[in-house]
Amino acid sequence: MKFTHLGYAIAMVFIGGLVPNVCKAQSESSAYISGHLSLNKSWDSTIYLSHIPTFDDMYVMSNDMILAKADIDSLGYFFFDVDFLPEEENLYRLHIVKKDDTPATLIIGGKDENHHFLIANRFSQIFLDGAPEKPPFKTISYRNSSVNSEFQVITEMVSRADSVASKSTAAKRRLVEDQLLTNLLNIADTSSHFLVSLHAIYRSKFESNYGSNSDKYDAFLERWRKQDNPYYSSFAKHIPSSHTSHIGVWASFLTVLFAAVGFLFFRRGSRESKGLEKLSVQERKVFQFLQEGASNKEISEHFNIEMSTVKTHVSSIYAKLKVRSRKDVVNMK
Amino acid sequence: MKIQAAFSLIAALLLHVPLVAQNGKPTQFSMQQEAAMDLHRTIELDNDSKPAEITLSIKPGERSFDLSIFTMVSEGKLAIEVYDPNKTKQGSFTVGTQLDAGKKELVRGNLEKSWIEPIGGDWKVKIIPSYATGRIEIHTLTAVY
Repeated sequence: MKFTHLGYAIAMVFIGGLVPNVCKAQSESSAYISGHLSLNKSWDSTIYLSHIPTFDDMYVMSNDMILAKADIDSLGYFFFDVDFLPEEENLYRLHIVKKDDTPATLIIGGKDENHHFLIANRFSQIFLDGAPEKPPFKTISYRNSSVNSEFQVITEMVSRADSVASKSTAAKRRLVEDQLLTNLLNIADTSSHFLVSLHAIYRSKFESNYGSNSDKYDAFLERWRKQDNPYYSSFAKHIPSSHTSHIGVWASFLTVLFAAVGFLFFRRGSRESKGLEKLSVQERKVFQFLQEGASNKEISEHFNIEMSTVKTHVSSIYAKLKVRSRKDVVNMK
Repeated sequence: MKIQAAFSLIAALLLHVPLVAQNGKPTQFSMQQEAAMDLHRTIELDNDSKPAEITLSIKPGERSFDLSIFTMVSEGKLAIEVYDPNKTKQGSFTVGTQLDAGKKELVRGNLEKSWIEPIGGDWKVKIIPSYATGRIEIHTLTAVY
């Protein structure tokens, strides 16, 4: 009996020591996005996580983009279990809403800007900390995500430049914008992470800056051409096709070539099927006039031939083409 | 697109006569400061798919330009794009409802931007609805030295 009790006690000690380790291991192995925000009472205590399928969709809001929601506790902490995310890294958006707002609310700019972008996948273990500022996501730091720290550098760089530019004279604004563009293109060129690099490209307002920096944007496409994902392809669509790929150019060329050959072949086949090949050279000339609705007299005058000759040609044309009237000839067009 | 007639008329008049405030003439609209103009425009959408463009004329030398766009859709999709006179996109967003949603839903999108010494000329707000039902409110505040 004593032996049994002793064994039980040993077993309990063993299990007791083991269970916390198992739990710890489980918690360490599961993916999460967690964080802390300093919010005032105007904000609702729910935070939403949305998937952003391309960088063109960064500022798109709809309910079907929202993947999950989590409570923000009274101290400002939140936690998302993200085991369900894809294996590949994707772009996501966290957002909060004002108490009276619908969950699908996006506020861009101003003191109530309500969202933050980050990169994650099903293995992510991310903790972000928001400084007590307005807007709540203005200054975010990451404790254990170098890729998001790098991503955030771009966000803050743009935000800072925007802020300075919005308070600057036109001349100073140009300098600030030029410097920002240079910095962003440098990041795009040197970052080892595709989504970070692409983020810099998008923030550089490539739509209006492509003309003066086409080499940089083309270099980006070339550098990451093996990326087979919507982020890459959606950006590539914005770039003039001559730069996207030589294969594309050749494909376009061959398409046009095949279309031209096909058209000629069709025309020939069509003409042959009508029996035009049976007409003599002179008859073909007369045929063209007939199709244009010319009278025998007009044809006679044009070719300087007798009316009887015209009639002979016309009769021959009718016979060879198996038609009965001028109307049938015109309808052959 | 049903633009509320009264708002449109007032807004259109005000947008094209910014010097009224500059000259210190009494105005019927709210004055944030001595030489500032606060304009409001509301646009109602009812299953709309016709794109529209609103021009905001900014005189060269204006001190500041604040633009706020508030949108709400209950059906369909709505994209907003803002361009400066150099045709550079200064902001954009899209709000959309789920096509197969069985119940009414609301989606909101707001854009707020400010510029000191804004580029003079015609700023454009492009409105691109797709079977959209909802509302757009555009507020602008311009100030001169």
